[in-house]
Amino acid sequence: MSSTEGDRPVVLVADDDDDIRDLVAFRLDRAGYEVLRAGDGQQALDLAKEHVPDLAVLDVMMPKLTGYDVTRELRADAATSRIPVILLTARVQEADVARGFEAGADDYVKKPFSPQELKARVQAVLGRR
Amino acid sequence: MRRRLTFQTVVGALGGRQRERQAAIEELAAGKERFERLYSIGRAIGGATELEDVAQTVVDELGEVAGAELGALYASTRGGGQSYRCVAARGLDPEDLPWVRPGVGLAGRALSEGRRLTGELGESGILLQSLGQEAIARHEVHLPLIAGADVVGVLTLARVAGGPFRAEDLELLEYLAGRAGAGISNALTLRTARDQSAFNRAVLETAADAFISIDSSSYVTGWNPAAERLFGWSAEEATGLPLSRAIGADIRPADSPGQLQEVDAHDRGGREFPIEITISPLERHGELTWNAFVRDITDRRRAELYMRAQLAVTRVLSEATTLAQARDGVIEALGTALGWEVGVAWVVDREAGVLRPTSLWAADDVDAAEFLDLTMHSTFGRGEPLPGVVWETGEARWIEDLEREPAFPRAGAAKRAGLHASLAFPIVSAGSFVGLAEFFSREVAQPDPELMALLGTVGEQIGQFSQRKRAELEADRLKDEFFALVSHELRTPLTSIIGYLELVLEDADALDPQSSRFLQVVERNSRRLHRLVGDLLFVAQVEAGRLSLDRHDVPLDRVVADGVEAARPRAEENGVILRSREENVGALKGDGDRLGQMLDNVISNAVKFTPEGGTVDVYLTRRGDSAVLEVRDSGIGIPNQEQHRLFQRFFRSSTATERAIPGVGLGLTISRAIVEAHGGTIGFESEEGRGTTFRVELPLDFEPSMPDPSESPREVVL
Repeated sequence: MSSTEGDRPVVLVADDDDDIRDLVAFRLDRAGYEVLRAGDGQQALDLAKEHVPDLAVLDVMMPKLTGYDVTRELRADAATSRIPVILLTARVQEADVARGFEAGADDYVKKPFSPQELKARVQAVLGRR
Repeated sequence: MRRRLTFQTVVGALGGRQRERQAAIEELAAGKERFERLYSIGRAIGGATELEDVAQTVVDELGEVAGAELGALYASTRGGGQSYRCVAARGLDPEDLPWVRPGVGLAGRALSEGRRLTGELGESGILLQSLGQEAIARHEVHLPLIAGADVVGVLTLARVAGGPFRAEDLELLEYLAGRAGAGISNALTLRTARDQSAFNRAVLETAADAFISIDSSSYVTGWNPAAERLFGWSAEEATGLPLSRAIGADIRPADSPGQLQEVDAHDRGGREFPIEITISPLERHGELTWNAFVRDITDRRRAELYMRAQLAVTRVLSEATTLAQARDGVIEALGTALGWEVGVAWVVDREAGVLRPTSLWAADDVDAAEFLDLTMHSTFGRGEPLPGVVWETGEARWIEDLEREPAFPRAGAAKRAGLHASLAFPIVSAGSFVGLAEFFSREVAQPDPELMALLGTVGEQIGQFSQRKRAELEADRLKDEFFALVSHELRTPLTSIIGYLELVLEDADALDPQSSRFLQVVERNSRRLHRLVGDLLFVAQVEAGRLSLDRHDVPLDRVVADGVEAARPRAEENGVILRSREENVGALKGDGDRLGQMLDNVISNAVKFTPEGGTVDVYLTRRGDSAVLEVRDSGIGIPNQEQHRLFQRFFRSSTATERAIPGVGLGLTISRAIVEAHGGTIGFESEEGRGTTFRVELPLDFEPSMPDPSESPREVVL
């Protein structure tokens, strides 16, 4: 029951680093997705509740709410609980990955990443549904 | 000398020639007189037994014979060392006379040389104080007193009036000196024997050790004052008691003669204490009797006990990795070592302002479940007995018997557990009270200052441990924060650089060739930077003990083949022949990415350090339960003196730096960490100028031990 704007799937991209947010948005836009942009965790959560995107790409380390927090909040609300989440993380250790999955994330991408790879992951997660 | 004035000589003179008959008769009369004189002197000497008496007789009689007004007899006595003291004198005060040392002066020479010496003192003579009057000695003789082979003394005689000593006088004196030597020697022996026995008696009377003599039927016959003090029986009471009754220990002398034994003894009042006893046999008048030395070893036992306790604590603290382990371990170690059956550690809960129990321990044979349960659910405020009092005062407390301590809140449960004595001591860390340890004993115990001192030290040790641990935790936390920061701050800009480059290069057709080439340089270098960041963080992770492997079945031959192929472009570029032969060694449970990283490092190193025209051979074989990887190059090699440092992080061999071969010195550090995380080993052989062979052995059946969840790294707040 996702809301769509036009025919294009909607992806929420949240990162406090403008350059990375733009990079991801550009890549996904080119790949044919409608992109919503958020600069911190709170904004991401607000946008997600308002628009219920088809997918959320969330940076882990964001001000106000971390990517883990946003994921948990989304899972806790019936309206957003089914939005798939891909986390972007700069630290990849088992503990970090486990924490992401515990919070309810579907996948994670390690920074630095190739935009192509991220696109492939997004497609894969969306295709899985 | 033709004539010797002995009895035989005198008798022999009777056979003189006729014409000398008259002279002979006169001589006979004189000889008889001398003989009688000699006989009486001999008897006088032999009749005395005390040294002083014998000596006085010798001086007087021989002085009389010699016509010497002055005389002194020096003898070797106890306490004189090498010196000879004047023991008797004639016409002189013995106290005024200096001691004679062998070899010094005429008397001394007579002593050391064992022969008679005479001295002519000339017209002026020597002025002496003779019993309050002045006297001038003009002629003197020094006679060694000899018994057997020993010179036991020297007799000095001097004439004031009269002429020099005649030869006959001297011979007579020499003969008498021989008799005197035997007498003095006997007297000295008697004195020594008597001194020795007095000495022995004095030793036994004043000895710190108890001395007991025992007859052949094990009854006490001797009991010194130390034995009286130790066992509470007077010598009179103890004499005649069986030994085992007198010392309150079942010991029979004949069972273990001459051996040192440690047993528990009892005094007259029934007090038990440990003793050390040695019983030696003594055969006297054909009867076997015994001598025993007994020492109270209570203090030594206690010192040993305390030393063991201290050692146990030190061991626990050196092995503990967490504060909780240290607390639990110390409570148990101390309780066990000291024999206090129940122990509790309390720590201050600063927020609630109370003490909370953290470690509870009871010896196996104590039924203290109720007491421990009550303790576990108790907290104490400042000043509440007993823990709160230690908190308030910061001082150790000792309660002899809880039954007589009405204010002790857990008294009922303690009584039901049979606990009596209690002691508690503070644990202070960096100057502030952090908690305390509390122990209970089933016995009533008197305060023991030595134990309190020991526990004070233990408290400080635990405090220092906790301070150290806190510092370590803080250092770990800072390190974690640093890693998080570094990885985030480095990776975020790299993400942008690599990501945007990729976007630009996707449309490479739109770029002019030069820009395209420049951007490729940027891309290559940003990848290099990316790798370096990864390596640095990897090493940091390994050092923090946090290397985690993503394990699954890894086909090692594939990984090796991939590693070789990845290195091929570089090898071709450098003109190095790269060959490989992989055996199918089966699958290995491991982290394929990490193993690939290790292979890349080792193979690319070999290629890097091999000059044009050289070879690099890669072999993968199976040996027993292990996979063996060998990477052999014909490269520049590693200098001998640098080989031991090769796996150190950031180490670069001089051959690498001289040739400006790029690298930061992390590859082998990382490779070794990966190999070791898989339970394997990595080593090498190298000869400078000839080449290097790296050998990696990986067990195919390696099962990593499961990490202990309680010891897992603390979560890092990102």
